[in-house]
Amino acid sequence: MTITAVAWQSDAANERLAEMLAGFRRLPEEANATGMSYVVSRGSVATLGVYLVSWSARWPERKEAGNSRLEITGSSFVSHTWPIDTTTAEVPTDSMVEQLDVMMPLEAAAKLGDEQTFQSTISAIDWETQPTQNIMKAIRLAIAVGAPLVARKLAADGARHYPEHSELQKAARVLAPPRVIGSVALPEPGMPANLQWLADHRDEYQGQWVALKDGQLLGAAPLLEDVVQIVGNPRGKGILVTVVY
Amino acid sequence: MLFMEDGEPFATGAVMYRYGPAGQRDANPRILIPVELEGFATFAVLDTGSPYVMVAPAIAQRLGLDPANALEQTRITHRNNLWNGGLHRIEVKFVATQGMTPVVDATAFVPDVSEMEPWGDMPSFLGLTGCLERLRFAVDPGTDTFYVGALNES
Repeated sequence: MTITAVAWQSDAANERLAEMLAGFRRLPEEANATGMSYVVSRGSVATLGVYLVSWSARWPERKEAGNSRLEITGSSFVSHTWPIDTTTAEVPTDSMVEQLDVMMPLEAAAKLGDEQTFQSTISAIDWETQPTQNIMKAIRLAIAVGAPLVARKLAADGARHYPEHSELQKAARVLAPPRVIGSVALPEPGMPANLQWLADHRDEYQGQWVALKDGQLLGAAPLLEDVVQIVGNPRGKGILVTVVY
Repeated sequence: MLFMEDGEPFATGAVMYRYGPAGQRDANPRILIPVELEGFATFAVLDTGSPYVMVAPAIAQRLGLDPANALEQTRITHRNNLWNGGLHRIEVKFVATQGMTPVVDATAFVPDVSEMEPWGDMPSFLGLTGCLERLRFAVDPGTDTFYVGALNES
């Protein structure tokens, strides 16, 4: 596994890179297969320390810049590190630096499935000052990294702060806590008979979709759509549809 | 049904569950309880380690959910796989053959149609966040009975 690191301008930033990489618990196979890149930046443009870290295939033309080995959580990486002239067109503008500061560490943590780093980074950000696109992105990243309560809070706070933003309103609605909206007495006398049928015919229909009602087989097929062809739309008709395991 | 010490009901409904693998490739037994997802009666795995209701793609196609009401283009890790899809609100009935059936307005992840093949024959899953978190539930492995009731939020 090879990581190419591009760093520039400040020693503090180099230290930050090492600190950041050391904090990663693991690098997933998926990232290795598809390639990844992220940017971490600190400070103002005057003390710019921005890193692009990418699989080497993304930056083949930079390999001649020099390399060294990095040991990260027991794994060995080849790194290529060099300064970049801040007067070149590659230097981000102030606004880009501001956005990268917030979102890139989040994206990196999400890509690596590092929920702990993700949560601590989220907590350090003042979301009331963030644009809506960053909030929406953070919501999606929180869902991806497995932090549903973080996603819910971001959506609820964002929707409150931006009442006219339709996507945030929708996110808040979809991610809101579940509600028990009723409690009904169902006439389901067929369920025990359905369970008995499944126990009795497990071997016979293994791996097939079946439609059952009151312990009677209405249809069976390898695909759900074929069962629906046989019995019609089962929704709301008390027809149990399941795969037999 | 089940009651707490002060007489308040803990669970108001009960149903027998299936105890077995969640798919032919699954080596471990799961608790599969009967539910209705938007009126579609099926079994779903009780999965407190999962967020949201994870709807099996084959079933999701039959539910007629409106993408306009969904948080689209979301990705979620479930059972060590990353899935693409959207988040919806759906109605989940915890079918009880004794007592009352709670009806929950829950958050559900609906994988994209392209995920149907990798999903395979896995059923749907009922996660804690977004679904079970507003229910009291208990399992009696002696009788394979699932007890469920609405959480008193007062």
